[in-house]
Amino acid sequence: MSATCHRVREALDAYVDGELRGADLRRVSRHLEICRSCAAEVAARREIGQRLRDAIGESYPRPMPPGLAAGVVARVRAESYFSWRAAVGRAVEDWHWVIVGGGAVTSTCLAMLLGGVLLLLGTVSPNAASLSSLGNNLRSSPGALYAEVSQRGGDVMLVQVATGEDAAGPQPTPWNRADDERALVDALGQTLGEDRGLPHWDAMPDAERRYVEWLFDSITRVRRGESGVSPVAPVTVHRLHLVANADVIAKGLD
Amino acid sequence: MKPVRDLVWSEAANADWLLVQQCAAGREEACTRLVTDHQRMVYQLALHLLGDPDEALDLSQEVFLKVFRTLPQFRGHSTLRTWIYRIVVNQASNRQRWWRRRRRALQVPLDEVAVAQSEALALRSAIQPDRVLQQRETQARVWRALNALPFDQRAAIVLREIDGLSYEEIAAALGVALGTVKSRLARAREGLRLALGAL
Repeated sequence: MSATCHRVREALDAYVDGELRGADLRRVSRHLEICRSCAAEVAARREIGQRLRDAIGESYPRPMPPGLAAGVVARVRAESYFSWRAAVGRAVEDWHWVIVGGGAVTSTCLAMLLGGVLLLLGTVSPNAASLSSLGNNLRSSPGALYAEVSQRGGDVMLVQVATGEDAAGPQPTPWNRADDERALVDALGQTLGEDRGLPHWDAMPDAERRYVEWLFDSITRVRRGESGVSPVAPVTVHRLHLVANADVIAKGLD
Repeated sequence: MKPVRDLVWSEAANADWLLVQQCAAGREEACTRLVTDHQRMVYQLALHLLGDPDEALDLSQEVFLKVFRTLPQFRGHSTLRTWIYRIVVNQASNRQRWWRRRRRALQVPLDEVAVAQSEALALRSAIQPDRVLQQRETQARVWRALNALPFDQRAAIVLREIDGLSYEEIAAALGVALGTVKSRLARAREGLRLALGAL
């Protein structure tokens, strides 16, 4: 066998199977015209194929077993019926309105819960000393008087001037007579009063108690020779607020 | 520069793709059509690879179930026919390994196939009994020679000689390179030649 035959036989299967193209096909075809040995190889390969086809191939058509398609489709249908996707799909279809209703109820409950939380967290408790708290605070009795005051360029403060309760007892001695011992003693006598007997200190109203204390302090200072005493530092009143029921009525003074 | 070949979306490929989409959407008439269009091809290849009609029928059902289960993975890179061929070969290869583990004898089913074919031939063409007997023996020898081949070579030669697939299609169906297809075919032919000799 020549070297050419050796090379051609490597391509003989492709030639027999019709897979050779172009120059390879021409080279093998030319060689087969002149080489009986290689041509015999081609014939042998073709005979093998023919024997296979004769024995087992399409030349002996067999009837297809019936029911293959129906059986396969039935199994595919059964598998798809029992698959989890199909089960979920059926469940969604069967319980559609229950799921929709449940979702609506759940979302409503969640919205209400969220709104409640926001209401609880969203309200800011007013500062007890702020003016708005006076109006909102039910403990601020109607008639209470507040003043916005400042001391010589200091910060403006909110000061309660009157409690709103009816004044009990004597009116305070005017501040311009705080160094007059006689006036102070008279005021103390009027406050305590001989006809009232000895009042019970704890039973006295706070204002009256503070007034009596102030009278005692002032009389003491005057008798010690301390003069020029002023009960309070001079202040500037900017605005007065009167609590009427739940409202605060403001009036500017400056 | 070598010109780039335009991709041609043939009508057959288009029809395959449409059929696949309909099957994937769960349309039963499309599934039935896919099976009826390919059942002979699948059954015969299974029979040629396994040599047992009952096993081939069983394998055919498995193949189509596998086809429908994996249908969403079909991307149209090969034809539907080649894709199904590949599933048949893989399933048959798995079953062969299962058989080998259980040392199953292939002789009886192969003879049954040869007898069935010979009887069908005799009925159709009224050939004389001695010719039928000779034909039966020839078929049995061919079956034995074919099944004596390694599975890879048997699959290659069946796909080429019986089903008429091109090398490229065989490579796609077997999942191997073109060179491997050529060598397997050459070795399969050599093996059959040695086994059959002069009939």
